[in-house]
Amino acid sequence: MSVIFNLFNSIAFERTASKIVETFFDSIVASVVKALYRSSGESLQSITRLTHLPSKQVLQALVSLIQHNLASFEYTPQRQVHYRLNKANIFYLLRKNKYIHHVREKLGVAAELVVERVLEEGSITASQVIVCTTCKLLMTDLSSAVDRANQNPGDRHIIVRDALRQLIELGYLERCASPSSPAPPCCPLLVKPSSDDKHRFLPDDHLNLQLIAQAVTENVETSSSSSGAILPDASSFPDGKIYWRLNYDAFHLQWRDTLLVTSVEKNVGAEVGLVFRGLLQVAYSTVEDKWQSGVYTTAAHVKHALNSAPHLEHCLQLLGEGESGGCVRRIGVGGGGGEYQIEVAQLVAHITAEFLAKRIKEMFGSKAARVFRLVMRNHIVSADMIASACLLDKKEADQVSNMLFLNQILLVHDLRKASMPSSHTPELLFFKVNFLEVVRLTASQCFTELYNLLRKRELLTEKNRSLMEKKTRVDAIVDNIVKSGATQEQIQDIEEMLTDAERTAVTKWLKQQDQILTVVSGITDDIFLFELFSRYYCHVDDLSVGRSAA
Amino acid sequence: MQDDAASTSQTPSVYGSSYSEEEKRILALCEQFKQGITVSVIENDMPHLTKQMVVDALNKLLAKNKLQLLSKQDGSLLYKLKDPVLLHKLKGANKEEQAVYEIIERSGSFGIWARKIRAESNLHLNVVDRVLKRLESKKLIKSINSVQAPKKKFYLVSSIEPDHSLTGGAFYSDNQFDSNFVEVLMDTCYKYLATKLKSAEAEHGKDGPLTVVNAAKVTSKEMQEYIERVKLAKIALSVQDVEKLLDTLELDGVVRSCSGGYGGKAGGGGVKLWRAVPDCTPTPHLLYAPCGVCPMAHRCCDMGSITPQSCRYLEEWLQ
Ligand code: SF4
Repeated sequence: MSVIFNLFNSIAFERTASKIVETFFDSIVASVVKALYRSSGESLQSITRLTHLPSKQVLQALVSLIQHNLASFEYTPQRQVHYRLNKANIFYLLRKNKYIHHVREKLGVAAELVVERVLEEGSITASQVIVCTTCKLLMTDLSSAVDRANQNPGDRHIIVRDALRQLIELGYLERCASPSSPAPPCCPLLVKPSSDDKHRFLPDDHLNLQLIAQAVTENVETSSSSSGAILPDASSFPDGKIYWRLNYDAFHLQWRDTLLVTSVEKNVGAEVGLVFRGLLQVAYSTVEDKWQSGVYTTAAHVKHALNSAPHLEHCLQLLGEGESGGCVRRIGVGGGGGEYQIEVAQLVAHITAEFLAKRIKEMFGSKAARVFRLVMRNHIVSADMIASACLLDKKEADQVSNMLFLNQILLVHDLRKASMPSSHTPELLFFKVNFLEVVRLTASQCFTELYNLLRKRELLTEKNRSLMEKKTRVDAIVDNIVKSGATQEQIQDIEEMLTDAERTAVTKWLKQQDQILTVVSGITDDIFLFELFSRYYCHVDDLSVGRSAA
Repeated sequence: MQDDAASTSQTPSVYGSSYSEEEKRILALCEQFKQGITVSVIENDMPHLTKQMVVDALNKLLAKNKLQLLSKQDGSLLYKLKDPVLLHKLKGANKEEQAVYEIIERSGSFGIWARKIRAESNLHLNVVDRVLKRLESKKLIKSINSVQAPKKKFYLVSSIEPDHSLTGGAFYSDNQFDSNFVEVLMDTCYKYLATKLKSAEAEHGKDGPLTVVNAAKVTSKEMQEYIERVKLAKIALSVQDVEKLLDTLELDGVVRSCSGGYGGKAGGGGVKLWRAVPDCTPTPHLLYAPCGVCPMAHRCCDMGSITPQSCRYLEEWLQ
């Protein structure tokens, strides 16, 4: 099980990666991504050669990529700079809205706007993000959403500062390298934060609130609501060399926990789910790395921390008995009542296996899922056994297993041939499942689907471009005349510049766009499960599916 | 069994003096237990006999054509009194017929096919065929096609019920797997478990999740009795048959099994218990767009005839 399994290192992700970058940046950056994708490090010259682009454009693209943590660079022993992609971070661009939404749910609008700005810039200083976010608040009608009781509206930058501080303290933002100025001509050199820098702390002496308030006033005066706040120069603030970026891991850890808790909840009820979440929190207080495949906590600790939970004993027993997918194991019952081990890896594998079974069910029918579960459960199954074990007609069982074989879900298990083959020894056919391959295959299908959807969206955007431009123009005019106090008749006259057919086409396109983006966002959830699986699969002993893991 | 035997310890003297006391007693036991007896029954009944004495007595009775030897599914041997009517019928039979009949009789409920009879009897296949036909016409044997190899004809003694491996068991009718019947049975089992889960939630919700889970569990026996009550099956299903149904439901991901007796379940401790589990896995988002189920996905790219820009399925999906 020591195969290295990186989901984003696949060929299937290659064109999806450059399409994602093209969607969020431009075709030049996408070409650089394409050139870098298959290599473990390329120099500026070779990227220029591969992309047939001027080196200046390539360098600019690399700056964008590095700023957004989509690429990194290192010096070779020959003092050459080599660039390489951070492929997973490219994929995370598709989850942009999820990160923003998550923060909004947890910390409110101000934090949401901060994260939005950080994602827009890739990396940014605290002063810059406070100025931009405060300006956005002042220029839009979101201000009311953050005005607390008795809070002076002039102090909005304080609210934003507090939100930023909270984001840093909770680990949603992390320190990152700052660009050296001036940047050398060959590479966008970065200055990495020294190891003694506090990554989870925003000291007050790094911020000059007076300077920030002044920058906000100037920014609001010079920028318009449509173009948004202008990014001030980082060097004009005392924290000009301290950059922050999004820490994806903090989000992913919380999503992982939600995924695990939801699975337990659905299996054995909300009450047990709640205790399981509590158990995770208790265990986190004693472990260094929350991503560990198994986290421990003592029973005494659990009982003390969760003593208010109703039916605690029931819940712990259910969690321990494998009713919930084998996620908690009780070790020893000595002195303090033993320990609880939360089998994160095992539960992730269980959820992944069930997810794949569900996919097989939806694609090939419930009988195919039954056969898949049987082979997963028994590891190797003879073709003859499938019919009787799955209560299927022999012909049907053959058809189903053949279909699963053709779709690379079942593999034929090679048995060593008898040294003296004879007509008396019947040819036996055995099936098995290479679970890792099935995950890899499904992930590839996800990437292909993402590519197709993004491509379709691009084509439709192109097709509707002039129509959308016309609509934007009309909306802008209407906005202006409304502000200048135009009559209803005048507004209607302007609105009629868009015909009924055009209006219908706009509505249809917006709906199509929504439809595509909903599926894209959903697929990123599917991939998230596979990401977790790829992180943990080497710690899983038993990938059985379809039976309680007791 | 020992008690039963003891109660009839008096050996009837219908057998003449050519039979020893042990042989008479064995014949009496065979008469009492019509389905046949094993050596251990004889040993229990006559503990004073050594193993060798029992074997000698049995061999003598077999030689006198009074007993027939059958093999059970687990490999143990069963001694059964020979049917006097059959003896009468076989009386007119020639040596070949008797030999073939004995081979078939030895195969018990598993039956035997013509080629194997030929190998064991050293008779020519044509002769075996002829003899089989004759025995069949005398209704001494019957033939059956196995579900495993439908083209193979297996021969059994008329009075013996064929083994499940030949007939396929309760889920086969006329040598065909009855998928519809199985579906109905599985559906019934699942509905019963689901109802049980619902009522457990309603009745024991306040008592804690463990009580709910335990109250939702059902033993295999309980399920078998329920199926018997609703009179779904023409033939009675065994507990093993019901467990097969439930095991298949577990493979469908809608039922979970566990062993042991929780919550004071009757017959706990090692008994298999089953409960319905909600289908909690969400549908993969991959399947929401046509590409997730498209058989042409591996051929779909930016060039050629199958592309996302020209795809009819994507277009239809977006409408
Ligand atoms: S775009 Fe069309 S042809 Fe290509 S994979 Fe999707 S559904 Fe299939």
